[in-house]
Amino acid sequence: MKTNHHLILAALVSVMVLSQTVAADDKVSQEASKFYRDEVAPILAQNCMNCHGPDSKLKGELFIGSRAGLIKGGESGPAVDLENPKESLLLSAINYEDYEMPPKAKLSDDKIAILTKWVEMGSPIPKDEESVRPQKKLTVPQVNDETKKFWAYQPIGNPTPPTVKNVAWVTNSIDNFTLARLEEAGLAPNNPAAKTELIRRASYDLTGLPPSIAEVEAFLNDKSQDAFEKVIDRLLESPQYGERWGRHWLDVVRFAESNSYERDGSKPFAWRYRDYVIRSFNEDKPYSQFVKEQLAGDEFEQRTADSIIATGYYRLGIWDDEPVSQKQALYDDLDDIILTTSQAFLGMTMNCARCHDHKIDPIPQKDYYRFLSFFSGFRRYGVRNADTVADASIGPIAVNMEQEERAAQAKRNKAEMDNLNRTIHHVERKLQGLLTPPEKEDFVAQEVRPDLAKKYIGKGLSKQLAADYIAALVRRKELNDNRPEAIGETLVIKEVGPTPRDTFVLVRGNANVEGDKVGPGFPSILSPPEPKISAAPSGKTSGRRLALANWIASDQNPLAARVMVNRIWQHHFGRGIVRSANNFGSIGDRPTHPQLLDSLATQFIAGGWKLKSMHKMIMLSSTYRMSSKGADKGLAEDPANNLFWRFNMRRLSAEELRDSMLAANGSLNLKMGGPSFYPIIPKEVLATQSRPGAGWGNSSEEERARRAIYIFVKRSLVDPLLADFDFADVDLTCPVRFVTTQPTQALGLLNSEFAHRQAAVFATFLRKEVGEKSADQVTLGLTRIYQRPPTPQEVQRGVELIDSLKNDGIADDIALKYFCLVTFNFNEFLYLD
Amino acid sequence: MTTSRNFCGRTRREFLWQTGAGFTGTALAGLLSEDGFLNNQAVAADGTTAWKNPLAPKKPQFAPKAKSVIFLYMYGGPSHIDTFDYKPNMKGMDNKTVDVKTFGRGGHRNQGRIVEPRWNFKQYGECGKWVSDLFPHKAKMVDDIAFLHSMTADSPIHGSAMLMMNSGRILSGSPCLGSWVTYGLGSENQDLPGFVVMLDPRGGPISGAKNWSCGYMPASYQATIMRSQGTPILNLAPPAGMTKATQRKLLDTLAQYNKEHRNPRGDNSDLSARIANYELAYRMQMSAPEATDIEKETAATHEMYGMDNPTSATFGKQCLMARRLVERGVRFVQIYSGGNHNDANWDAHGDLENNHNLHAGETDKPIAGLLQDLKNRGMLKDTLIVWGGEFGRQPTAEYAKGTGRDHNSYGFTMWMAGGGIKGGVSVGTTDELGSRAVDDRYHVKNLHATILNQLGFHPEQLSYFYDGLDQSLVGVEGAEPIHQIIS
Repeated sequence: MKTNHHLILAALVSVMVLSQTVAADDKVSQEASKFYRDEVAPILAQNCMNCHGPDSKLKGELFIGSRAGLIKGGESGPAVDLENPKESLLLSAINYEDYEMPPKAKLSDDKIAILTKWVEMGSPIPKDEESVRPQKKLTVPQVNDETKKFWAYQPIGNPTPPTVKNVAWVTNSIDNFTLARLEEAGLAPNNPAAKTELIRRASYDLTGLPPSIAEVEAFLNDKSQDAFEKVIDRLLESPQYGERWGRHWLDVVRFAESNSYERDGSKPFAWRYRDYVIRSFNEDKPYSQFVKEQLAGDEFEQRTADSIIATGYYRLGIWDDEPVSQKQALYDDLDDIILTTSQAFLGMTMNCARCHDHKIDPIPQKDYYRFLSFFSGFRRYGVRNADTVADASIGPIAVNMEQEERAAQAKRNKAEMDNLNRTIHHVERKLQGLLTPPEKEDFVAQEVRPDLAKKYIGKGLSKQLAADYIAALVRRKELNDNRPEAIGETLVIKEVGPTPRDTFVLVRGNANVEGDKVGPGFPSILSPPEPKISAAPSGKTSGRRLALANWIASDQNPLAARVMVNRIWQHHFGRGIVRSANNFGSIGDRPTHPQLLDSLATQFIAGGWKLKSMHKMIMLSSTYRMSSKGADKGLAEDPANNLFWRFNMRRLSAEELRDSMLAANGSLNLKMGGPSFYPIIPKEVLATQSRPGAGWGNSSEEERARRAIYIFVKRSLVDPLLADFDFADVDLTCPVRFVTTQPTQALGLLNSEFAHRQAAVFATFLRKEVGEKSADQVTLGLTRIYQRPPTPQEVQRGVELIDSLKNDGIADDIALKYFCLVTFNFNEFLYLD
Repeated sequence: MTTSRNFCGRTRREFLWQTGAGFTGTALAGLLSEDGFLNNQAVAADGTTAWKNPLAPKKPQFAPKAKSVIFLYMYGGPSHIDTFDYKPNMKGMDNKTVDVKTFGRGGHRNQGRIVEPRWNFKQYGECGKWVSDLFPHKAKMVDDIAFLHSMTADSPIHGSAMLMMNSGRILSGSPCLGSWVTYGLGSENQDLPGFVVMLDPRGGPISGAKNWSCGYMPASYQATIMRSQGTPILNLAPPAGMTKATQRKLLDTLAQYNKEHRNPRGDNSDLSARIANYELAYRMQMSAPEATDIEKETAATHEMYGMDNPTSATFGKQCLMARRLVERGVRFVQIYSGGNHNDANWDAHGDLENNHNLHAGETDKPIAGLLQDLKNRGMLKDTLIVWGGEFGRQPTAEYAKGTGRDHNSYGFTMWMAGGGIKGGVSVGTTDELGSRAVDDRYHVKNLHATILNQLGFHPEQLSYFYDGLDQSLVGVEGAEPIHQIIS
């Protein structure tokens, strides 16, 4: 806090003395001049000027080439204190007290003595020795009338759909917006996609799964006007819709079930949040409510199970259980929340203003800390071990129902737990007495305890006791990780109490250097109202987050609805109207169709922030129903398809690919929700862990055939198939996934145990369905891969392959399996038209 | 990454931003594509952007001194005062309690019991470098090595410290060094991965894959794990029972199906890229085993790498594999000495002597052999070798009894060799106990900056646009390369 004290004190002093400096400069005595030239200047030139001189980057905004520069100081306050020279920041820095300057090495004592003497003299610099402060190269955008005119900060308009020439093409107003632009550019929209293409596109878009053969046939045979509308309605009502669209949201909120770092321990009940997201999409919950629940569901007057589970949002990030500094770690965690919240809900990169004013967008550093102030009651995920996590981040779901039943179950559970704990404590007391000091240190980590116990079998522990102990540990972990539903606990946010911590602007983002005190406030560039904060009904939190949530999820701010409709558009068309879906700022992309974006946002709000009606409107448009085929003129004049003259092809996501393999071979298990499952990870990949296999469970074959959204998301161990096909990096919010093409994908789909296992299942399925005739097997196989009838030539080619393999002496079932393996590698399987 | 990034002192992005109104989205994409910015997430998934091989070889910003890097990672943190940081004044101080500020997993302390360095030091080479008896072989190479005795890092805790050493930040989620290098330079050999990591057979380091993650960059820049036993790369060989001829047959049929699908969709270059990737994968199945087949090397070479001794055979084999990979154009190879936990790596909390004797014994001859072999082949000048762990160790004992030392990020030793690095020099000092760096202090970021510099990059200008910022390995504050060791 010494620096802070300097800052305030010296700021006052510098105002008082600034007017005298010019006079003082003129009077630099000859001796002082000589002293500066001979003694001081060489030290400064050699050690300081590189960073704080006239040709430097001016680190920390500090310029020491002139006396005025020293007095003005940098981000941490004046460098010299004229009233009280001994207290100067410069001296404390060279003495390695608060700062350590120069960073490369502490100056020798005699050099420190020279600089001390000089500062005590009043830091005289002869006029002719002074240099000029370098000009800042970029001025930081200010919040003013000019910057407020930026498109994203303007109120959402309700533009009239433009008139178009080709009226017949228009299905709904979306088409007016896209067609008007195409006509202006002299481009024609593509023809409609074939029905087989369309149903495949729609099924994947809404459910992430291929249509069944029967569904395709029904659509092909339905000649009614509203045949496609019926398909859309069916898909929107299917529970798989929530799994597909929930997954998009999980990317944005960096959903994972472990903490990263050394232990990468699992997050209890994270799956409840995942299920909550899926449920919310399936229920067509208003997006505004969805936002409020996640940000402040615990501060509602009417709390529900879902509004509590939703606050697990705050617990999904990385967590360092052994941070270098607890204080800095708190602000790192808060930064993670600010980054995710501002980008996910507002498309603003507030996090860029943590250490200084945002360099590109008009977001002052103060706004960052005012935003942080909404969360300043936040308790970290935990302090160190599982007990502290339970204390800080786990709470009951039950609000007011079924209390008794839950209590009874809890009691039964507790009785078993008590028994286990007795055994465990008994052995651990014994064991503690045997351990060497370093082993005691290791003992802190739960996962090493069984090994330690085994080590002392026959050396103080009986075999039986060690076995009982290990069994008790396993059971206790089971109970802790997967407590019976009836107990109803979940990951939640907790705060320090109804009165949050004070919030300060942190100088250069340093948790130990507090600047001005600030209170909660919305980003000033949006000319927002003052937050209205009322006490939280539970009495346990400040109520600030609810004020934030209510403002974000309202039509008062121009961003929330725009950002969300853009995400909806993005996942239908492969790219957002604003391509940078998390960044609507200056350096983000401009909307290619700003009026369309506003029109959609207006309709979204008017429709009660509901998604399903938006999907339907978008998918019924002619714009959505276009073919993806190339056209000479479009390819020549608009190769990036900025104007939507065609539909963009897309590759399946990693999850869609895995689910589709299981769907094709008939083994997909559509069981929803509950704890995650563990696919088989090759032992070569497990070997990359410091404890191979640690934290990775074993699931039944039936469980392993569930949809990929239910795979346990462990930060340091990602299923190789998902990783190769561009699964989101889960440490940070991911608005748009990459689509890479690389040889490991080919190797994985050709050679992996998983691909071969699924191919074998596929082969067995085909034989069971159509018997032993190759042509029948190939026909059915291709139909399930393509979701269209194959051409005779395609069938012929498959049959020839199988025959040729058999000729080589390969057994019938293996030959068929190899054919199945090939089909998983088809571009047509992986790409949608 | 840009080669000419300055427009009147503004970065290209700032320039674009300031003149933004005049650019349409296409013009923007066009300009940025020259810079490799097409890897930007915003355009990654639109299905229309032309496919470009992200690993195609690229030119650095200026003539590089090094073409590739081999990072010998001493996981757990070797003790500097027992290896290269000679502290003669500590002799006779054993068990003496002294005032010294330390910070390790045991927290902050102001006092401790000295554990005298446990090995004798001797002078070697023309430069007269003092090296402990732990490294009799490496000691012979000191005239090729630049020692950095004044390294500092932000964390003395393995998890965050390893992320710092590998990715420049203590927070998880950023790309690591090898990803930056392959992002910047691509790969010389498309039949092999550009970024290879080899692990200790006892297990990976803590945090596993986070140590070679490509973070917010696309998966093209992630590391490939190579094993010294069995098939070198995951999924490189088909499961038992499938012959090469059968696989070829499957690939030929696949190509027919895929080409037929592609022909009416010729404008989508992803489809062609995927077809080509199957051929690339097929070639990789042959080139990767060839590159790692050390049986082709002479017995003398095996011996040079310590492969004749069971203790050093594994690390020796990995070092030899590294040389063969670098020879074939692989950009970045990282080999871990030590894995798993505790004494399975350099993390000597218990018995310092046992621990360091083991790990030094496993690595000394292989590393000396690698340096000598590269030198003999004229490859050392183009290959940058980096040696060190995530931190060093304290001069004092961690516990009341024993020789175990806790972690020390206030000061520790790393070394570099080859790739335009001076030989026979030692830079920076720690205090007389080795408890902290005092002169010419360097941060991990300076080490990263040096590596990038030797590869031909201005460290702050090798940037990747993410999260509203031009991110770089050395961070917004930037860092200077260590000029003292650059020849």
